[in-house]
Amino acid sequence: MRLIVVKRVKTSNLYYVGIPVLSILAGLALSTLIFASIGVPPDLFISEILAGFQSPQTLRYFALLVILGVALTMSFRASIWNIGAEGQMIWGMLAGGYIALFVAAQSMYVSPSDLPNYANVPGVEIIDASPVKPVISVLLMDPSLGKLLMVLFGMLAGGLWALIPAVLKAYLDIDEVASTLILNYVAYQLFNHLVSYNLRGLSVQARQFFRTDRMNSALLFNLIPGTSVTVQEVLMAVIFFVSVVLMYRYTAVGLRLKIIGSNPQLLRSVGVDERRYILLAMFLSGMLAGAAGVSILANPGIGKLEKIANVVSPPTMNLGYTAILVSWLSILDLRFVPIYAYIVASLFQGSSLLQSEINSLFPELSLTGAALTYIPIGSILVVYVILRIFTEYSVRIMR
Amino acid sequence: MSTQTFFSLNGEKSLNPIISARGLWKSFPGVVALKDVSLDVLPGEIHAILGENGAGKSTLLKILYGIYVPDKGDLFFGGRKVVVTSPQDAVRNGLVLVSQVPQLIDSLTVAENLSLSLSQFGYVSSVRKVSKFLLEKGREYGVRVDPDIEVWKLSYTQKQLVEVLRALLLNAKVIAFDEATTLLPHAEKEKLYDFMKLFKSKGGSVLLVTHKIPEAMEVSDRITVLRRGEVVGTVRTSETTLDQVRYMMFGERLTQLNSGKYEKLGEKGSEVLVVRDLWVRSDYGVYAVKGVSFSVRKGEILGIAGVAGNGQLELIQALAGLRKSERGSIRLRINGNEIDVTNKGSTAIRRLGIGYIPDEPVKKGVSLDNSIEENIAVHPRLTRFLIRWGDVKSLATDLVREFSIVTPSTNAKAKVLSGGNLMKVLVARELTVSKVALVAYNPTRGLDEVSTRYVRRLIVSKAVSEGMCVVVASEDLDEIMEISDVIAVMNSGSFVGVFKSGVSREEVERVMVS
Amino acid sequence: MIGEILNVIIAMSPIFVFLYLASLGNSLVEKSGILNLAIDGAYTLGVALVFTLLVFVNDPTLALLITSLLIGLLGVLIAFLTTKLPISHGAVGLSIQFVGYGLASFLAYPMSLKVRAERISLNTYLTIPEVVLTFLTLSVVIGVLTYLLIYRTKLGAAIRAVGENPAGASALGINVLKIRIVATFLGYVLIGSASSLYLLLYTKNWQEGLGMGYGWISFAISLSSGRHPLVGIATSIIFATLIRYAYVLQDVLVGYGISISTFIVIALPFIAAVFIPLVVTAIPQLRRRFAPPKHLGKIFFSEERSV
Repeated sequence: MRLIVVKRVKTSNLYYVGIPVLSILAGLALSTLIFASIGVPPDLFISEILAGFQSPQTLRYFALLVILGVALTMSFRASIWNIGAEGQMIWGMLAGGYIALFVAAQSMYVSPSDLPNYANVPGVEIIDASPVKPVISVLLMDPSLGKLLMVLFGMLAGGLWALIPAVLKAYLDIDEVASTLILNYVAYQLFNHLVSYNLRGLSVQARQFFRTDRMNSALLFNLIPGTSVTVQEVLMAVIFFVSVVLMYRYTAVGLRLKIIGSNPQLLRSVGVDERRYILLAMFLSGMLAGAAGVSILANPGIGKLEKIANVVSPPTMNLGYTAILVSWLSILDLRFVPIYAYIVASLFQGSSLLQSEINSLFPELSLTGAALTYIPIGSILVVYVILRIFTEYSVRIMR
Repeated sequence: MSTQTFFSLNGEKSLNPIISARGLWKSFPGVVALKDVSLDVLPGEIHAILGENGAGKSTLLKILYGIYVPDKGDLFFGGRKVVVTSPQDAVRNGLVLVSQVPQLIDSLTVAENLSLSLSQFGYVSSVRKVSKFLLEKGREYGVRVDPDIEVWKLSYTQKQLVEVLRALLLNAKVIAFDEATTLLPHAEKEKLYDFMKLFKSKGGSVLLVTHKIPEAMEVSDRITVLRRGEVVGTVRTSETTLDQVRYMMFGERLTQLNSGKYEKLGEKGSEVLVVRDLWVRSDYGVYAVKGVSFSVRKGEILGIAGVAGNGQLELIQALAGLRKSERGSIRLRINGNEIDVTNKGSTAIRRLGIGYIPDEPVKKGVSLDNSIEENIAVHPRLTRFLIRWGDVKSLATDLVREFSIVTPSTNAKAKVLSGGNLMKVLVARELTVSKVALVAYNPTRGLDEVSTRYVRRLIVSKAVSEGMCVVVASEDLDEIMEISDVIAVMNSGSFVGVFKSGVSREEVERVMVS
Repeated sequence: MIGEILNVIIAMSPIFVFLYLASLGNSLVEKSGILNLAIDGAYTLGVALVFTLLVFVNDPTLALLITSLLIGLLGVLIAFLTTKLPISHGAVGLSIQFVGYGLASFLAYPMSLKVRAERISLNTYLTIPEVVLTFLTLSVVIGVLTYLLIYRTKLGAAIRAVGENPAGASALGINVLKIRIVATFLGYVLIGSASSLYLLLYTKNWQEGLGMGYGWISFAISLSSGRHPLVGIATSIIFATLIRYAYVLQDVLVGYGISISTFIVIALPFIAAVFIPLVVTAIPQLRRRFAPPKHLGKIFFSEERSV
């Protein structure tokens, strides 16, 4: 008896819905087993993951994952595996941070005696009331314009960073998976360098601390009450989603970005230089990732850039990797991105709830954030990658 | 007349077939490739499997060779029922394949390649030992090939010899030739036929898969004809005629094939495409086109004949702006203006109204995962920044009607279409944009006879009615002979002969291989 | 003078050894046509595994052998999935990479707390000339053996054949799966031993995230040496120098008034990993000679096949 994999005569639509759902369930079951092996009670695991679906905190990850999911789907549909959203977000943060700290507003020392005078001046904020060297931030432009500039420059920086691997792929045929991933590590270190030197805050007194000043709060995005998501990031998610869907539907550029993924040789044969579209796909993808980076920075809960102590816990929260899951589960179909963004956001939030729960209930288990995010994400991906083939193939038994 | 008439069962019941297939079925997306196909190969015979492209010949062969698995049906080798799921299984059962594209690894030496087939050499044994063995055996069988040469340096015929040597070393009982003689020049073909007869005389069997009737008539003992996935019949070659086999192959459509006269213009217009001293490099960096000059008039068809790999592909790609011209010039004369398009980029050239049918058209010229409308809208001459889907749809609907493309709708994904219909989508799109000229390479490769006629007629009639000039290169000499006004023969990167239509086939062939 | 050279060799050897062995492993895997995007996950997991095992068995060589074997088995899984099923190599590799990252942290973090709490002293290799030079010699010998295997034996011909043209190799009678399993197992054993030696011979201790990125550096070394075992020696020396002496460079530059931060120094091998392969592709002769196997990373499933 032999098992034989054969191509289906008709591809099955049922599987397009069933397989992602099945992958999530099987991947979670696998993770439950892995964690149960060291004593995490399965019911705790499951209940915390489910709690993620109702947590108000989930909304924030949802908005970010929609933006990133759209970003990655754009490059994946063009058959360009942009695994570098992490680095592109980092550059979004750096560029957005630069605008917020040096262009739209400016930090400066004042003498301690003058400090009370600044307490109620519009556009001026005391960001460090140190008795020795107090620091204030002075707004230099209209804060709405400032926020807009932050987003635009963040997008530009993310897009440019994404162009590096795009050029390498389009013109030198260097595999983009490896180069985008390696460039993430480069981005993390350059981030550390810039944050520790060029962007280092005036208010950072101790030598061993490396971070920027706090942003002027007028430049922070506005929280939706009762949640940790901001109005601006929700708006961006909606605008990006709609405009990308429209671009694919109604423009020649969108059509070509789609066709480059299914058959780049067609573009070449009708006289379109497909390499330019590789650059474009990556640039757009990086731009959106950059916008996501700015959103993280400008969230009132963050508002500053800090040196990355360990590459497993960057300020991007590894969402650039997590979004791969969103895009794949959506089978690269934009319409499904919001749905899976919500599911993945819930899992993401669930695993951080789980971590705090375990730390308080079973401190001896000492589970890290990396274990709790990478294991479920990885397991779901592995199962999905394998099950995915059944949309186009079936397995038969031969006597 | 029913096809059953030809079903003459073979009389040799006493001879047990060495390979026997019973009731094979096989479906692919959009097509049933084999319908209840049965076949017997007897010991010591040359058995031809004849059919047009898409008749199911190669599917059948791939099933015998373990590359495809049938949906239904059984295989018997030497009377024993077997499940064949890999070429190794087939080889173990005594069937070895020599294919049209030699299945050898180009970057490996002959010895390395053959070592992979020879189980008497263990995995840790050194390649040097295999070389020595091959030299000995080659001498014994009279097949002389240097075992230490890398395969990519061999000529096509030499590669086929290596495959034959391999079959012999594997003690094949049946050697299957899959269109293996199609691309060979005539003299080389004869050598292969002689070999087949020799092999037969020693008790071996040959399975000859071909779409050329004369070839089947010349060497085979029996012929099995396939049409649209079904066996039309098996006949003894000595008891049949060419016309009978032709009818078996094409059925009622034979009449359509015979009415194959093209309307041609006597007078041609002024020169439209002028190429002077063109030099183009191949992918390997050497010159593939060496100083070619020609001009094509309005409404004229220039056919470029030649054995594959003599620079035709590079020349066509240079004309389409897809390959850099190192020297020389390509000029277009449109409405009295002369435009130099040498290295002007393919988008610009295409916007001027040049259509292009690429080599491997179905692979390079259409995208299977996109709809017919999208496959049309992608052309830069047909859409601006915003796509008006309404316009695209009506154009697509017109083209589907005009070219009788069989499709559920214009919005259907291209992959549900058959190869012939896909090709029509591509030709329809390119003819729509060909206001000035059409450049094509093997424009009908892989099409069935009827579609082939249809595409050729379209190209000719558009040249005649709209004054489009055409440059077509083809490995199929019949195609060139049929549609061209001027025939240029390309050999080693140069035009070695230019003929008016009406020249004899022999004359052209002579220049091709000299 | 000779003493100085010897010192430099000894100082660089541990770095050379773990870089070279992993790149050698990657070359073997990729020669067989499998795009090795799981390498960084396997590497990080290997580092965590050897650390965890070391705490239990307290014998570096035993921990190294078990780790290599386990990582080798991971390679077999990858070969199976990418060869038998019509699955994208990139997707499999990336997914396994994430599982590898997660499992690494999952296994080694509790162990690192235990080591700290119980003040366990880890029995790693001593960085003395005898030990270091032994590993250096061993790794070069393994490199030469790998070269002979790939270019002088039938198994090597088979590995190259399945990487160049698996359908053709299969038609010639090669069991593609079997050959890829052998190549990937051997390759991943090398990657496993490299990651073990990274900890046992270099960092001597574990912290969260240890090893992440070094798989990619090895990947880049393999790529820029055209996956050739002997050329890889030279490329590995370049990267080892970069890692070992970037700090020295930093000091030297300070003398000239140029200061580069430690972060840039950390980033240097990664920057090199992106751009050194460019040098290879920019030179036409090298580009042709160092061309990847034709079927690298492509799905081997143009037809159907049995599991």
